Amino acid sequence: MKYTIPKDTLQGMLAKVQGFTERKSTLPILSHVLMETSDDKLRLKATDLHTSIQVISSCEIKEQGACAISAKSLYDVVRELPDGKIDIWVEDHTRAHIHTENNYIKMNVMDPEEYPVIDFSLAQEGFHVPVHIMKPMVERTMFSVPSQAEGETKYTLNGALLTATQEKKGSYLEMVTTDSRRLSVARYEIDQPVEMGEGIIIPRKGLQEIRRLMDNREENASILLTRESIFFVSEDTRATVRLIEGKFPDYRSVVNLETYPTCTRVNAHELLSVLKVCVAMVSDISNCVRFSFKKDRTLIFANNPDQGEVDTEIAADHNGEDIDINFNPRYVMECLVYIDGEAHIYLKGPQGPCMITDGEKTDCKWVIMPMRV
Amino acid sequence: MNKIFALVDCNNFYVSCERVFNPSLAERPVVVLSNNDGCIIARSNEAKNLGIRMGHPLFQCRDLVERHRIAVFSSNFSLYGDMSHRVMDTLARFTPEMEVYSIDEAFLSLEGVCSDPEDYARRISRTVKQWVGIPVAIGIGPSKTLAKAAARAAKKHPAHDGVFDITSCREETLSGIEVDDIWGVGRRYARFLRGHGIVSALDLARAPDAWVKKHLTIEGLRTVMELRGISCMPIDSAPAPKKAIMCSRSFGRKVYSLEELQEAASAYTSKAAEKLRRQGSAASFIQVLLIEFPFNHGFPKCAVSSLKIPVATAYTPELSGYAKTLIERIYRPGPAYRKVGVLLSGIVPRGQVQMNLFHPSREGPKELALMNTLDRINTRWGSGTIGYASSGFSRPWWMRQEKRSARFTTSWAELPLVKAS
Repeated sequence: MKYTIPKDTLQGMLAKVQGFTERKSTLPILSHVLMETSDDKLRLKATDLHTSIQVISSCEIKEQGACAISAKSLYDVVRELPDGKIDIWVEDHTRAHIHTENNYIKMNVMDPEEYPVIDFSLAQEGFHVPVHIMKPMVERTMFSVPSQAEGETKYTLNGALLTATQEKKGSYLEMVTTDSRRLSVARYEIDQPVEMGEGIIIPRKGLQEIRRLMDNREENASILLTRESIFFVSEDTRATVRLIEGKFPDYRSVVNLETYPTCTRVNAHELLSVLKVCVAMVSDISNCVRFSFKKDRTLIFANNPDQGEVDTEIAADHNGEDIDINFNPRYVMECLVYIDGEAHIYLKGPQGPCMITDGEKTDCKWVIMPMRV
Repeated sequence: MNKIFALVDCNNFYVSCERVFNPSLAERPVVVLSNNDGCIIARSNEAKNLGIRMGHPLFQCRDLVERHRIAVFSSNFSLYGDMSHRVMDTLARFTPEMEVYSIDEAFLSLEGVCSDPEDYARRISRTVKQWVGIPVAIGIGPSKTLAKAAARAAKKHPAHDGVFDITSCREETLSGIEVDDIWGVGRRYARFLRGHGIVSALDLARAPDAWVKKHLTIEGLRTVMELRGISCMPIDSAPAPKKAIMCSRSFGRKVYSLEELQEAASAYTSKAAEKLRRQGSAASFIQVLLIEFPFNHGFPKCAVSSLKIPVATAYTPELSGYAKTLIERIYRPGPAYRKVGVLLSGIVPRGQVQMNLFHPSREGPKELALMNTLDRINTRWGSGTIGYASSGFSRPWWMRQEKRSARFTTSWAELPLVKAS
């Protein structure tokens, strides 16, 4: 294999595949990227056996071939090379030679035959979702998927549920995530009705990588949903994520507005800036802020015996009984950043869940469980 | 104003506790054994002079015990804990700023409470001896590390009569203390320092700051500054709550059945939960370990199982339930088991427990009140006065404590009797 490629092109391709490799796997080859040439194209493939990607680019191919090379090491090397063209060739499937004007680097490679076979052909069944619908849905819910460190014991919670609903007003896609302490729902209208049964569950890592690819704003990019996988498809990139099988917990009753008798309306930006101050004050151990919802104001109080306290009041419009309730301020903040004007905070009582919406709009709902004092 | 710290260290604490209620033990060699009567964990000076080492297995020195009529006691932690409280209560009368460092040690700030620290320390020592019956050694210094070094000197040299102020003879004293014996210098650091020619505490005090910071981190530099008489560690009157609580014991005999293992797990969980509530915390993670007898396999096999608790809790029945489930998960019928342990971690303040959407908390106001009542009864009437049936009644697996003295101060039934004729 021998080819010449501009540094920026190779760096961009490698940046895309990094997240799809698996460095901690028992199979060392999964930390490698498969480099293949065919006709005048260079093709990079990476997989952790659950999420996979293929990136294609045109380049000057001098000799056809393939090799598997450490994705991280190659990316780190290429990043540091000067701008311009890079010559890459492989000898006897053992070494890759990387050459620029003043640099000559040799890297060990693995046999490409050992690389897992990945099928990137698009399924016939399934339907396409435009990126402009999928991206905000993922952004508004992603933060309540349990982190890898938290490792939610209920397997199906380690991903996002995507369902389709058909109502009189139209057809909707709904994404739901929960780490069992809070729950996020984002609903967006789609052009045509879709049958998804009980929905599909996209695993955390796949969702993160798809989100990253969507951030690149590639032209003609779309998401293809099927029963087994979710695909990201653009002109030069194709990524696939295997879905989680299982049943997502029933969340409908938690997001039913009618079950929340009390509502407070506050300016989201004002509340957000107060909470930022609170977060600076509270410690990781006592990560708790008290909200006192009163008729015309909301009092926010945070206390850290080692540092001091924050005691602030903001204007609010509250209907129902006064309620004192404690929350992890970070959970509230993560929702408020997506609200421009007035945030509606629906409450059940001092020990019950609270639901936050962007004013009257109910496309996005965030449910947060309080802290028991 | 110069800081003045005193470290009050009870002499041979466990042995001293036994002697308080048994005057015939005075001047007789005495040793106290670990749980299950395995190894020696406390020795009187007389026993030390006979060459009995710390951690020595009892069966290896049976001859010595018989030949010298050494008094042997099983550990009696109810007694030691209560005597410790009495010592600390007494010390608290002498200063507003005090840090209970361990069961038998406390740092006192003497700043502004007396004009002659040494004389004041002698008064403290006399009072503790008179009120509680426990002899103490007191070290005085301008930093906690120096106070600790002074207490060591006070114990070692009878000429000091139990009280020693290091302030006026800092360098001379530090030159006689080996680097291994400095508070805050562990075995690995000590070996490293010796390799670099730093043998005594004085050598370390004179080491260049940059070198110390590079090789011993900022903590090491803090120790060095303290050795120089600059206080870097204030009195910590309210120590941070523990981040994990472990309760494990070896059985007094081989245990085979799941029921007995679950009973033991439940009993240890109750103990751990009690400690959890005492520090005002709740746990969100539980782990149990089960250790087999080694037989001929060499190392004993150990099985571990853990669980993330949906809503952090300190409610004993809930925690016991999890522990029993975990034991069931790792239990294999057949082998004999010698030890069960329960670890509670993921500790959060009990007043700030994050609720869960799908798992309602089992610890409501009623449960909180129940645990409060349980703890108050056990505090007032002695540990184990009231407990859960799942922890067992006769507990045939309980550790051996054949030579335990009476719980003189915490059990009505075991109060010492005074007969007047």
